[in-house]
Amino acid sequence: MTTGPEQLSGFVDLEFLEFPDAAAASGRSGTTPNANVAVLRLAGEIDVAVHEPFQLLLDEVARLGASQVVVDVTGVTFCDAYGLGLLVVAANRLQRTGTQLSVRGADANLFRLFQLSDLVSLLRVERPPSSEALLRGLHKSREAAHAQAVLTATLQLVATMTQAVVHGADGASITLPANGTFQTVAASNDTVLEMDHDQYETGEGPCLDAARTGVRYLATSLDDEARWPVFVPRARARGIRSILSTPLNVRVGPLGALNLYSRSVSAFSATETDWADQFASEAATVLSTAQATASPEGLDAQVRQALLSREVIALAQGVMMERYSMSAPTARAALRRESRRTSQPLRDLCERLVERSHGGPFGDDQSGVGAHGA
Amino acid sequence: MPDRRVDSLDLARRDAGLSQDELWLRYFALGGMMPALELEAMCLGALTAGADDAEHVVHALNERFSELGRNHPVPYDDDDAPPT
Repeated sequence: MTTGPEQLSGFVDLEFLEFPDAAAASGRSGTTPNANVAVLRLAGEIDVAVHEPFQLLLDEVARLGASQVVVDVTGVTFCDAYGLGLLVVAANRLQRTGTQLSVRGADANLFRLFQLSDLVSLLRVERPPSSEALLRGLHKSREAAHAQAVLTATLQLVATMTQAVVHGADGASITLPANGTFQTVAASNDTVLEMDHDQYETGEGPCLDAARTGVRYLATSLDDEARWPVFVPRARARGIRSILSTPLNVRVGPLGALNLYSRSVSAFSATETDWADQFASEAATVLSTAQATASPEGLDAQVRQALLSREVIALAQGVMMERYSMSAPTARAALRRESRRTSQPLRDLCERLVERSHGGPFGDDQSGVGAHGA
Repeated sequence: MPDRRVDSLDLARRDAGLSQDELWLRYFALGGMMPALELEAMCLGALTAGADDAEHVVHALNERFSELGRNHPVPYDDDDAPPT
């Protein structure tokens, strides 16, 4: 099967080749060594524009019953967060039917993007040949690493969504204690990562204080901020003007902090701090659950599955919050109601919503779930 | 809000054939925030959860009942809410 040019964005060249049944049906002469492997070729710019043809091809893959899907990204010149999201949703969806997704052909830059997003294990991204030798020794605990990757990918999603949903935020990250110091486990861009490292190096800053004390720290304007005299000049030099650090609190104390920065002063009002609280709760819940259920071999398989489901539902919730300026509980209530009204499991509904998020919520549905909320 | 026995959610859990751990995992997979022990206490009526948490537990139970061919038998608190 191939998609016709009319189905494609001007920026995307998406082909579906080498699936024997499809090739036979369309009269193609190509053959593949493995009858159950479907190869999806992505090329050009992978963003929201590729959504529809990609979904059509995934539907075709499902219809033909492939046991393995290889996404070939050799020709990809650009991929944004939406493009990554498409691959995560696809992997999630395919996994549920026992189909494994993997990604091959990433060049060094694209591979770096997968690494920064902690998606290398989750999406089974084949490493570029040049780095293969260096990383040969790291493959021993692949399964444990995969489980860990699901957790880190979830936290990365929380950071990315926080930046997307909280107005005025130019970056978001999650800081956790590690071996007597701190580390950033998820970051939505390099500036926030550098801001975190400045704090670890100087030993002071709002995210360290939030992670240590369990109290929220808000620096409204770094121009007038006196609390962290060594760190603040570094942050200002990076163009940062305000910072909000929210602790990841659980019963026993703080697990870390969710950090937001803005290039504007007074960027974070009561509404923004409320939303940051919601995302911090999500990160704290995921972390405390992972810690409680982790075994030496990594996360329990069922918890891993649950995290994947959560990831899709959180993504849909983020879409609703961002699009309709809803609070998290209102968005959850709206999703529950729609799930019930349409007799679809919440996870399936959220998958559809995320897949269609470049259009209206729930496709042509006129229930007004998004517009009116709970 | 419909009247409920304090332990009605626990009765529903047992009716659905779920262990406490299984219900919690389903609730967690749907985005629930409560730890397992709190969920258990809430189902037994020993702890009052926020409305959103309670509705999420009800939804997790009803999704299980749907799998068993039963149509959302556990009442939602917003059952009387006007349709949106």
